[in-house]
Amino acid sequence: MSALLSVEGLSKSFGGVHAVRGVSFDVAPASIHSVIGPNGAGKTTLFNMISALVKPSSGRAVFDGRDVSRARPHHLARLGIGRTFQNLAVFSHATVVENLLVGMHHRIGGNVLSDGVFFGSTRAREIRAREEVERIIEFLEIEHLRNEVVGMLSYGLQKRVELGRALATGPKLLLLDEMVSGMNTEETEDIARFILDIKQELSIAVLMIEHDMSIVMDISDRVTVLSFGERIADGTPGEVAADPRVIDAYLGGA
Amino acid sequence: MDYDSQTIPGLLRHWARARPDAVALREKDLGIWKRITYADYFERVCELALGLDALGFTGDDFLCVASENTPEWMYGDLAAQSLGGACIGIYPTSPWPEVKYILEHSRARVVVCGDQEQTDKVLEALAQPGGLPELRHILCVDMKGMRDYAHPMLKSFAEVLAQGRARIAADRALIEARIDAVKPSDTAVIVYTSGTTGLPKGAMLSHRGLIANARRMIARHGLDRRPLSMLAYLPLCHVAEREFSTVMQLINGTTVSFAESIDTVLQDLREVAPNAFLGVPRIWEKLQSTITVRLLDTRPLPRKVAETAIEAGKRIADRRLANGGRFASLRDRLVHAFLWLTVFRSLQTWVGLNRAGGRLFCGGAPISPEVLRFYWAIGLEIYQIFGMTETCGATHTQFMGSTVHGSCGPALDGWEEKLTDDGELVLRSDAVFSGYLYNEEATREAIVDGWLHSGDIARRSADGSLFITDRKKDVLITSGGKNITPSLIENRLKDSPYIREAILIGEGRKFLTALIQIDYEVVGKWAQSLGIAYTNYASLARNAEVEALVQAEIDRFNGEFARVENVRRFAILQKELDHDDGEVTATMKVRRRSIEKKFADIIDALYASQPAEA
Repeated sequence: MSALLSVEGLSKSFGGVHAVRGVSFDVAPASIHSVIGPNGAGKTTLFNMISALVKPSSGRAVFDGRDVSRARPHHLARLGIGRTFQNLAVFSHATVVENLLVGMHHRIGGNVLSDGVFFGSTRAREIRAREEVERIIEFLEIEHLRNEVVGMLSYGLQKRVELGRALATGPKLLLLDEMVSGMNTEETEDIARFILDIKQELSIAVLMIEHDMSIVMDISDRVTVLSFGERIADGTPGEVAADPRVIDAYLGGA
Repeated sequence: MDYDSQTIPGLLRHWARARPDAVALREKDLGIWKRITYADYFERVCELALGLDALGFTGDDFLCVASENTPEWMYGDLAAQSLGGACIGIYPTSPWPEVKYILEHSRARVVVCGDQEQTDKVLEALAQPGGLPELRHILCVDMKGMRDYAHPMLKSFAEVLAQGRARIAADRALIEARIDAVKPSDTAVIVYTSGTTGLPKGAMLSHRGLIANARRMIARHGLDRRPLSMLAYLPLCHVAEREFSTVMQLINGTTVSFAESIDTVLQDLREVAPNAFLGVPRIWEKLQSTITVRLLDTRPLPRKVAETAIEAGKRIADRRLANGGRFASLRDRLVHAFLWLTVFRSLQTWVGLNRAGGRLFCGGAPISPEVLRFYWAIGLEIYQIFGMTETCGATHTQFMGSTVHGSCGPALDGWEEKLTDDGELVLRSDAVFSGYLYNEEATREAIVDGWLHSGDIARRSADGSLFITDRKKDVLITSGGKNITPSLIENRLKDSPYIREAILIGEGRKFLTALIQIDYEVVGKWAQSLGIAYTNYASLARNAEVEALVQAEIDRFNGEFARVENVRRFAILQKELDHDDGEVTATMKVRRRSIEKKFADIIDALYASQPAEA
């Protein structure tokens, strides 16, 4: 089985600070892969390199045969990578449907002439896009929120919309940055179920940073542990949980 | 048509032949309403019946459905009946022990689950020691998230439907013969009564009883005068929704639209704009509060206009209600027409009931007269109905010509009624249920000498209108020996938009107290407008200003009641009552005993000392 994403020795220094040092791991297609580690372990920097927001000092991230860490950030969706952010990044004054349609923008295409009069192929494309949006709405069970302005929704639901928008880009790989932090137990369980469904029903691989150990251990196929910018463990949730270095890093042992 | 010899699947077949292209069901799929004709409906039922037949389902077996309302719910219902069996609905909100109890007690052979959530509950029940020895098949409609499930009993609903489809060309005669063989006296539906006390009991309802009773309701309100369009959103396992959305549908040829989900009912209502609608008090209260909240959001002038119009409407409504529902004078009629043109028409359209005036019903529990008055004021005539699971649905209804305020109207034709010495309502007709499943003793207690004992204390006004006072077992007696009917006071408290639920306490006590659940949405809005900070229900419930708000509301109502009936102390519950926690039934009826036990500390604290002025 060849990897969907191969992270090969990614490093990043900010001045003299080594945020990430030579981290490598593989993400298999249609799997759930978690990256965990204490605060400041370099998880988000790692994510930002994979999604081309931060240029690596060295190393590369190969997705579908090309190094995405040096791609243009706005090409990422077209390449097949969708992501959510640690802080909410939705269009809070737009409705749920509008937010999802934006996610689909790069796939709609079109030309100025027919778009100007909303005719022919434009019409057909718009209907297809709307249908796709409805499928995502059904998938995420937010039928009742279709026309709500996103800013009015609870935090948990806004995160769900952000997830929906990432899905709308039609990704092969989803990067989820601390999806459940700040959510209550019920919202967390909902998200865990959606992430499993994304893998099983939509065959999309998920790479997630997570602090909530229960969700990581429950649903991950593979876990990579970072500490002070270095990979200290990589394996199944069971293997990682038994690794003495991980216990050290987490419990601050001697 | 000779309805006395008809069965529910027989009626469906009738429509499939008489009006094959008429729309029977509408379901929202990917945001667009999709139609299912009577011919399609009947075809799916036949296919499923053949599929069930292949699984060994016989005329003596029961099929359970645990699902939100969907077309597949009805296919399961009608398919089981087509084979001579009966269908049992399980509330989609029931926790797994309740699901286990019903599956175990009914000895059902097949269960249809709507989705993963419902399937998980059945699998959980199966995993318990002893399991469910009689259950053979679990059919799941929406297989999302269940790719890795490998339970030997589990199949997809679509697969069974496809097996039936493969047989239908060869076996059409067989299924027709099975439908012909169903007798009107056979049990069609078993409804497990929610039971605010004790374990649920399965009431057996026959084809004949269901059809006869629905026809009486149709005749009383002239519901067969035009094609009806209704919204199915109350749980189909409840007798009221089944009477309206299945039985009446198949007598009238109604179009039934399914609400997209529990959370979208108000939006669906606006889109479907049904021309008849059945609501429970909670839904009517909810609709009213969305209107009230919406008015609070408008600018001062439009709000003033609307409020003035509603006040004027209420005065006209009072005179109408006293006059049997008809306008008391030409002047009232003209003023109302003017208000309708300027204000009420848009209010009605906004909630989606502009086509349904005069065909609106409220059942399930007593509604506060104040809420009814509001709807009559804006020109939506709601008729209160009374009925029981054991009577196959409605037995009493208000109608144009009989609208005694606060009553459930006179009995439908065909029902005999009397009040026993202790005021209990007893009823008799051919639509009384056939008995509780496997529970002779309970049946004997319920039906004595042919009279069904309702368990409700009632009285009758001069014109025969029925007033339900309370459940017989809920009447409480204070230590002063005063009989108090809690629902009367509770409903009055619930008239406050800030109070969602009120539970009166006082059995054997010196004075009355109440447990209050505030309305999170309305109180939240109120708190926001005053800049009171809160994070969730609990923090709002603990707020001192909220307590003062509730106190002011209670003081206001106390003035209307005799001193012994005054609520002297109250406590705001720190959590919202929930079916999962056993505090309310699936239909949101308060489980008094369980609440009194659960919140015993709070209640004891309320009685820790005498109130100051006593």
